[in-house]
Amino acid sequence: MASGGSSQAILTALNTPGQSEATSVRRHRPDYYIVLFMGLLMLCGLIIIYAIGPQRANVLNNSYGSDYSDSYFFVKQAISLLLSLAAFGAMSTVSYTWIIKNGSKLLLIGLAACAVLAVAGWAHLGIAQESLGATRWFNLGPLGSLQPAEVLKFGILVFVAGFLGTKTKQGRINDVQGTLVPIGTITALSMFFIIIIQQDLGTGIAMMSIVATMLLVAGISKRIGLIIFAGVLVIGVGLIIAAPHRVGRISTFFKGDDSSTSDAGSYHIEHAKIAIGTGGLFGVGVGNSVQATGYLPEAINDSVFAIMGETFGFIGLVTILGLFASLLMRLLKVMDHLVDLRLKLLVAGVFGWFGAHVILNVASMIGIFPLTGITLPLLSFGGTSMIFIAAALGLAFQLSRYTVHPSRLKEASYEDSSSRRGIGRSRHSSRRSS
Amino acid sequence: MKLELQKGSRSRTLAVLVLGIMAIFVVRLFYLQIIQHGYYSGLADNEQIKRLTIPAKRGLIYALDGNKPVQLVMNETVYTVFADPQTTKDDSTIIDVIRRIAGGNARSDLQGLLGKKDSRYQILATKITRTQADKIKQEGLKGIGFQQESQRVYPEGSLAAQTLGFVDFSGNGQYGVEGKLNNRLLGHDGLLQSVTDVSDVPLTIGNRNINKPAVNGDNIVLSLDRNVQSYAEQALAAGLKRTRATNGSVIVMDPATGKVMAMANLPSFDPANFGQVQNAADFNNPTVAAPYEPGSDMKTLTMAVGIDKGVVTPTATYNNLGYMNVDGITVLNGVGLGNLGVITLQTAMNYSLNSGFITVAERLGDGSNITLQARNTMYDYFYNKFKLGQVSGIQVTGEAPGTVIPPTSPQGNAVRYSNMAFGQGLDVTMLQMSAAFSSIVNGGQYHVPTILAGVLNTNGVYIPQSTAAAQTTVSRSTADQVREMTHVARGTLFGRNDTPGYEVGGKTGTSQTLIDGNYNNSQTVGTYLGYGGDSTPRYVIMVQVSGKNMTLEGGRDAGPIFTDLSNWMIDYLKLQPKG
Amino acid sequence: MSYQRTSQYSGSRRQQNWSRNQNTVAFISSVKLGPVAHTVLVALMITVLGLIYLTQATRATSYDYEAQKIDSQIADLNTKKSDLEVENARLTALETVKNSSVAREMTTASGTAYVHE
Repeated sequence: MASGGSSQAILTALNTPGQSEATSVRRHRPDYYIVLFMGLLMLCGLIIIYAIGPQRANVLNNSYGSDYSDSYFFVKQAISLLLSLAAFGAMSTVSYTWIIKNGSKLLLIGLAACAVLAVAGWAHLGIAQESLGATRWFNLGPLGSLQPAEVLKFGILVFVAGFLGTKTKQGRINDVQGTLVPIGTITALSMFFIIIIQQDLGTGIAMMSIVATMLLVAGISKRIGLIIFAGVLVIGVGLIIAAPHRVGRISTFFKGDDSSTSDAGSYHIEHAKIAIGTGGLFGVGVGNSVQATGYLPEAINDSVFAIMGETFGFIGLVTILGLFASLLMRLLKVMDHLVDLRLKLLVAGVFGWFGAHVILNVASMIGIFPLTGITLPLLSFGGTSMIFIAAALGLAFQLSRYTVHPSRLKEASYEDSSSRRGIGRSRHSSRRSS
Repeated sequence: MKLELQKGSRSRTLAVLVLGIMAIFVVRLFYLQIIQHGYYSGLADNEQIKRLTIPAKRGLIYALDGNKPVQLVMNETVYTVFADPQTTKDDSTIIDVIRRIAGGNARSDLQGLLGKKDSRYQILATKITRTQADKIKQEGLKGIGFQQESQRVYPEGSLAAQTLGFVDFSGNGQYGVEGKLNNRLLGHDGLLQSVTDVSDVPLTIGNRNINKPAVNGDNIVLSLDRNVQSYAEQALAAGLKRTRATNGSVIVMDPATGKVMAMANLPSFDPANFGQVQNAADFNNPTVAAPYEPGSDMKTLTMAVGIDKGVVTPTATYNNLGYMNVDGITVLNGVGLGNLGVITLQTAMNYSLNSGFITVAERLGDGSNITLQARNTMYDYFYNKFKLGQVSGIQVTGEAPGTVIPPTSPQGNAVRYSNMAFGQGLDVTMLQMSAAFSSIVNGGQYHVPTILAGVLNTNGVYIPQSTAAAQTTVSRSTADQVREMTHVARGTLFGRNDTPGYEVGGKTGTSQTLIDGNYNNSQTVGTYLGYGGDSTPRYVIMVQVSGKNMTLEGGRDAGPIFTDLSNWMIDYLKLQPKG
Repeated sequence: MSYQRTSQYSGSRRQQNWSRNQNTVAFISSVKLGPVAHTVLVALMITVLGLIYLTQATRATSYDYEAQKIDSQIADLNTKKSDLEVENARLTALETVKNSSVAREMTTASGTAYVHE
């Protein structure tokens, strides 16, 4: 029975303890570049929030009669920053084996959280915060809000990395029944919660890209990969057509640069482009952003890239993109130099998570992709997103301790021992031995 | 930072993919930020830079109360209540509240207006006061908004309505002082151009912001005395009731300065409700806008010309036949005036006998004809010195010059000039007559009549207007003699009700009006022009009453109004009786 | 402070880079910062400097809303003042005074006679 076989596979994965192959790699100093880039990005985010926080507070005060003080957003962002650093530190010290071992539990917690949220939203309980017709957040009162989708993303990241890693080592990466269907089921279940119940296509795409990156790095065969891609595309188009507001966004996107500010649907993207365009080469300077005073919606979280464009200009944006690219490249380097496949896949997942967010957000802000409502990691205002991204980066940071010199990669994985050519480091007498 | 990715590995593919996408981003950003920078800056400016005109406040108009300026015309903020039918809830409560508080100012079909759910702006009530607007605001109704606007308010009611004029709905002054001094009263609007945020709050960002404050209009102080004006209107009204005349005008001037102290006209209107006036003729100010044939009042001027030229004196005599023969035309003295025989010119003045003054005109010529020289002299005095037939430039609209025909014109023959000698055959306004007469009673100095006393600057300090230099019309002795003649004339027939101890003098005038080109005795205008004062003349009053198909006489009908006002003026100005 | 001779075999390549057999003395601090601490300190210093710049640069923008509030207050008070002036003028107008209770109590003078000096 096919379903029995795949559920069997899931159970096997859940019960397999962490393999000890990675212990043959010596733990060394982690890749501090990750910290550097992450810190620089967080700093940029803090600067921007400081500059436009008072204006955002004013906009909200005027339209909703709330009473935010001028420094409210800055203080909140600083607190999120500290919490993220704590999460980063936690993730980089908690042993990864423990994490991988509990990957399935994390996934179940994530799914359960989403389910609870769905039920709470359906029953209109106070703990569920409803906005714009969908319930995406838990309202934890003074603690702020929590987005269970992020927990789910983390859970999927860890679980699929472990599962897929094990399966690939057994050489069953392309086994539809044993490998792909379980992954597909879990993904589909998560998509159900995220895209259909929470109406959050952006997060859904990010999660898909986590799984897709992992599959790609695991070495899925091109044929199966294309089939999966085609299937996802079809389902995606179907989902888009099913929701009218998404169709609106697509049509706005296709209008391209011809859409004008008078168009109600393209208000957001037009103002984002205006914000970026008015930045020019060097930007208008910190604190001189006019779009943030209320013209650009979501100036503080989703559209913060556009605000940075206005404030820092072309030079600033290229620098930011450079920082993002550098961080992503460091992740790739860590991933490439890891030996254990599960660790590789973990870092690949983090790469996919981070990269998807960055690419989707920036692309929609500059008008080469429709709006998806996804946050820019580390720069956007918003605790949950920053904390979980920092946690994921912390995990990658910890794993970067286990990278090996590239010349040893083949050594660790080569099966044919007939030749030692190009394997391992060059072995000469050391200059130091005297 | 070396990456050292394995060749051919999937990580290399990913790296290339990500870097490629980033490169696309950079290219697109370059396009947006560098190439399209001007375009987007233009869009941003369109949206963000808002120009607001800062409206200037219209200047207030003051009158004098003694020496202190008091407000005659002020600005009041009134509100227009409008509704946004798309966002209003609970229409019936809204209608109830508006009806209750705004009352008559509410529009009639409130239900229908609120029912137009596709429009976003419907006016519910106009011109409600601030207290009313505050009460409506307290109700906290949704979808209701207020618009502020300024309108003129008249705390003194309809005092000096035609002199003041009114301000029409587009903010322009019409008639009177509001019309004539409109540019001074308007001021200059200011400009605020600034980068604004979504709710139109100006921001300090950007270096192209303009803040030009508005310059409010000048606060004009008129030379009208509030109390004199009020009593003049009262006396005129009483007089019209008594004589059953339909129209009347009074003008009170200060002979020493040429300042107009009162300018009253009836029928009048309420400037606060100018839109409800049926007859637009009510807006006119006949004292400056309706030239008429002054009649016997003119005789004082003719006499002055004669005395100044030295051809006659008050005691000079002539033979009064009851009529005069000028170039073959017989000019009568009027009916039942008597005093035939040899009489002095003083007597002619007392009993207003035309023949005496035609004699003066003849004596200006060769003694029996009104020669060209005589006419030239008369024209010179009337037109150039007394400024009859010319616009005086007083600060109200609609001033008419009147007509004084020069001797060079074919119309300016001896017959006409004989008529002009006693006040027919020429058209002058009451203002011109009063100003000319003032120059006689004050000793021969003509002051340009003005109604503008000064301005109130922004600190509330009254700054008087400098007066123009006076022009000599006749010599001092001439003026004194003529003045004495009018004093005697009044004393003979009309002075019995004057308060004793003061010098009051004047001249009646009963002029025929032209109907279909012919002089008609069945419609006459009654005028009285006189002065009063203690040791020097302090005021000059001219009264005129008229009515369709009514025969009104200067002495009988206009005189009592003059007496009434003159006695009151003596008390008001607190004049000391002469010894 | 501690001074060490260069030829000491401390394993530091930096010292070995100096010329051989030179009697030079260098100041080596006893407080040693590793690269991480180094980076963190530099980052902190940059942060502090950046914050100082930020606070100064963005000071003006918060005044916009204050200014707007005060402006609207001023306009409001001005309107109230004008309205009160109109009220005042109405109350001291001739008609009001004439019809007031004080005026009604007054009587006109019956007659005047003069005394000759």
